[in-house]
Amino acid sequence: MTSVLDPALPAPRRWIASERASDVEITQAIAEPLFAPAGRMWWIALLVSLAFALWFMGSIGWLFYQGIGIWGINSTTVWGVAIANYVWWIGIGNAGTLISAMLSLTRQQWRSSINRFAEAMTLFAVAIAGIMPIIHLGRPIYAYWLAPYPNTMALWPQWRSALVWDFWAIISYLLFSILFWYVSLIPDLATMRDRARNRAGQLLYGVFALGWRGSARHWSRLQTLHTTMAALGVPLVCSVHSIVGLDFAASLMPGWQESIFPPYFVVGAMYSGFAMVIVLALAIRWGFELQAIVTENHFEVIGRILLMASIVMGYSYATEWFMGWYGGEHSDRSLVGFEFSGSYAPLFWALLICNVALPQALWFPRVRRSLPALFVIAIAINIGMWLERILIIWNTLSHDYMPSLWRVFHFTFWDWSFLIAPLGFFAFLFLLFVRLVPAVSMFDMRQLAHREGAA
Amino acid sequence: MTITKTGRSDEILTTQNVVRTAADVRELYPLHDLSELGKLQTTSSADARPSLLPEQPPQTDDGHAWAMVIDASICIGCNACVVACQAENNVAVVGPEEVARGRDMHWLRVDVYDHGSAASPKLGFQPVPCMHCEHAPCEPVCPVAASVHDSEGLNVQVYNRCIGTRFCEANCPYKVRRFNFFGYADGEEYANLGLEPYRAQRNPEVTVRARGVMEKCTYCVQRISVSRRAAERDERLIGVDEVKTACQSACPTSAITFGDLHQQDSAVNRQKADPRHYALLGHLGTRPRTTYLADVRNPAPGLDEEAT
Amino acid sequence: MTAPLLAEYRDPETLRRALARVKQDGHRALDAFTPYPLEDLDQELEISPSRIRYAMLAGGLTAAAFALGLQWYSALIAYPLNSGGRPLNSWQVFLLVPFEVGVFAAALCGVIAFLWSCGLPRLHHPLFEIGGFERATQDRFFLLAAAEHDEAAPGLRHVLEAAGAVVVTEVRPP
Repeated sequence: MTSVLDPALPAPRRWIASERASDVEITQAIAEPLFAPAGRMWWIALLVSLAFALWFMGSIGWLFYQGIGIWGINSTTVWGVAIANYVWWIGIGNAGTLISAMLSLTRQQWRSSINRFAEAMTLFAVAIAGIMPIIHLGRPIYAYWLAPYPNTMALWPQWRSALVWDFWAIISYLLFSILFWYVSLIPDLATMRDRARNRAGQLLYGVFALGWRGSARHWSRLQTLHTTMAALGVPLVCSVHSIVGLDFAASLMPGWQESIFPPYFVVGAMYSGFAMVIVLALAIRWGFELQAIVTENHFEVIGRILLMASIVMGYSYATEWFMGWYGGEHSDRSLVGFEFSGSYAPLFWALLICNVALPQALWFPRVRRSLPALFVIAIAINIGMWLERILIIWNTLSHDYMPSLWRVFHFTFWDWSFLIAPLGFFAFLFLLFVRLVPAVSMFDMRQLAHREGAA
Repeated sequence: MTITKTGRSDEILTTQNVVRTAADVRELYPLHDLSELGKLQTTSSADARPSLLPEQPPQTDDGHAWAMVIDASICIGCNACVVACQAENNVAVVGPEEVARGRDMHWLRVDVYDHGSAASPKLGFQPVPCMHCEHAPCEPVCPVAASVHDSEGLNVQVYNRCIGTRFCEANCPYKVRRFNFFGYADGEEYANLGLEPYRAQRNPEVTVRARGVMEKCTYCVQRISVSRRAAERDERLIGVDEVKTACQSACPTSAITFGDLHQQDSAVNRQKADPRHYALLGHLGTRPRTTYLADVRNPAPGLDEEAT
Repeated sequence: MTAPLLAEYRDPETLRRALARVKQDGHRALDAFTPYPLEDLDQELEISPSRIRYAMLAGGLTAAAFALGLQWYSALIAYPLNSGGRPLNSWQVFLLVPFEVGVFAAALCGVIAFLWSCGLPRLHHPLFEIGGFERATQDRFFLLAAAEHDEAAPGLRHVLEAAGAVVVTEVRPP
């Protein structure tokens, strides 16, 4: 298939790498692949990711049958991969909301090219994150006890627990993200309805388009709603990650009880989220031949964001070490020493390389413009951020106030399963998404093309 | 008896580390010279530091305030208390595979501190049950209020409310909570040498815990209940030092004292007046009800390390 | 008012010029249909500002107040428990859940108010019967205008066509 929009290099315009991008061309470039039969690569990817998704479901089934003893957790290191996964996945979700909400409020036009799939990434990541605290439970069947409802035991949730805050944060964030995503999807669903060539497509897209006609009144209302939701979404996403930080900070343990955790978790989430956006943007750009729509300049600005975030992360780590030493508490100082030289030290050094050292290459414009280099850095950041989360858990629980009970975590096969299989499940959902829904917002792109003078 | 080589090698399993780092020992196992005892200040309250939390607990107490004092100077580290606790409280046997994974179920452990040197160890013992903290870190983190305080100052674990988040154990500075990773007493038992667990081996007064719930020392709440029922039947108050916990009963040196802080002449109140009295990790502000009397040494002048 | 006319234009600039002419000649511009939002078009069409934000504020505050009230009731009245010696009314941390719930409730009220104010969902509409209207969601710009009375109708059609309309269609109510 030849692409509708020919990428012209060097790009004549910053956010659209094509001489001309009329409304028709943009619509065709984004919508047409969805009506054409899926390519062989898509099917192969779908089947592989389906195998991972089934592995994930099977692992959950085995976990429910056997109990959480199948993991490498023990009497003192009572938390493990499930909690790290929870924090990592919800962190991945962060970037989608920030791109759609914060970049929209600050009128960063380049967000138009990537906000749709970044928000889809948020949805799927938050949904997977929401599974983790439930399967983490010793008795997952009673997870609903976190919800307040009149019951025969006359009991209520214990509202002072960070896990109850989590429960509401995840639910609110997930539902909010679905609404936010869907609202900006309605006009594109109408386009799909109007372009569909068979009855099934017309019905499917037609029902979800709700009868959208592109009326000036509708656009006016939609923009009011979207801007207001964006203004709510930014504090919401910050609060969600702050609450995730409070899971640790609102405790009494060395290395957890730190007031820097909420902002540090927000930035950390943004960091891994934007890194994931790079990976997905590369895949979509390649898979749908959208080189003209997701340009090298997009990657270049995300590279700058990653660089900024890596500096903030480095600063946060340094603050932790400094405060651990400066606070003078024996257990805090001992923990910092353990991080650098204890049982998990190789992982800790790997995390510092992935999150702080390697991304400094982004100072160089050549690196920011090199897609392979960005891909490698993005993957490294995602690995580093997972290591960061698991090490927050392991280091503190393996080196707490009671030296007599210092125990280390032993990775089991099932820990690997719950680490790897959800990635495939995520890919599976994402592959379905790109075949069903325009992965790039068409109306936003038409508007961007007009502003850029390409239409 | 003859000893022959099997040719096999196995890991030596242990549930605990001997604490040898000098800084850790100083922090957790205070030690006094006998000659210095007279200079110590008496600190009967667990911790006198100011707190942001209200002084009075939200509920008025029912006339009892249970507490325990453990004298580290006379503990000989025999582990009789651990075994007694296990028998009394239906603590499950988990088997060597689970111990190798770092899982054990004992509600009480005896920590070992070495304040000597590698060449000449000087061991001190510190039994650690649940501290029943007044400002318990495990309670506010529980999302379903399975870990709560009762009106007699006990930190209770409501097994049938527990959903197994394990946040309580993660946030416990003393690491005294134990989790049923498998159904150790409930369908996934460790069958000793292939035998079924004995029937009727369990104490009918104590709940058998299910898979996926947290459990911990209860101060033998069933024994408190027995005494209360006896007292109610006889229309009297629970007598001074009438309740004896399992660990206390089993201790050959009477290192463990248990009783009611509201009874002025109770043994725990006498112990708390001892100048050696201290709270483990008291600086965290947890206000533990289980407190300790520090170990005492009386080194003979002129005898150095090599000689002992 | 006569049956409204729907004029199709190739680009937003032509649509804006046509709109200005229609208003200038005393006709009524009812609505416009565009494949992407045109800035200030709602003001040119004199579409009243929406009250979606008030609905969001009211919904958000109500839900937040309810969540706070529920925590207060359950922690102080229904089942007071001593949790680690914390005050029964731990209002500082009770503020977190109302915030999360309030933001979601505001968004939900906003979506409902948005659909209400747009008259959606409405899966079928007479405009969908008009040939070529499917391009309103892709690349064409439509203006819906009506003359005040029958005599002015031909004049309106002329204005729309003169402004560069590809085609002008009369929209009849079904």
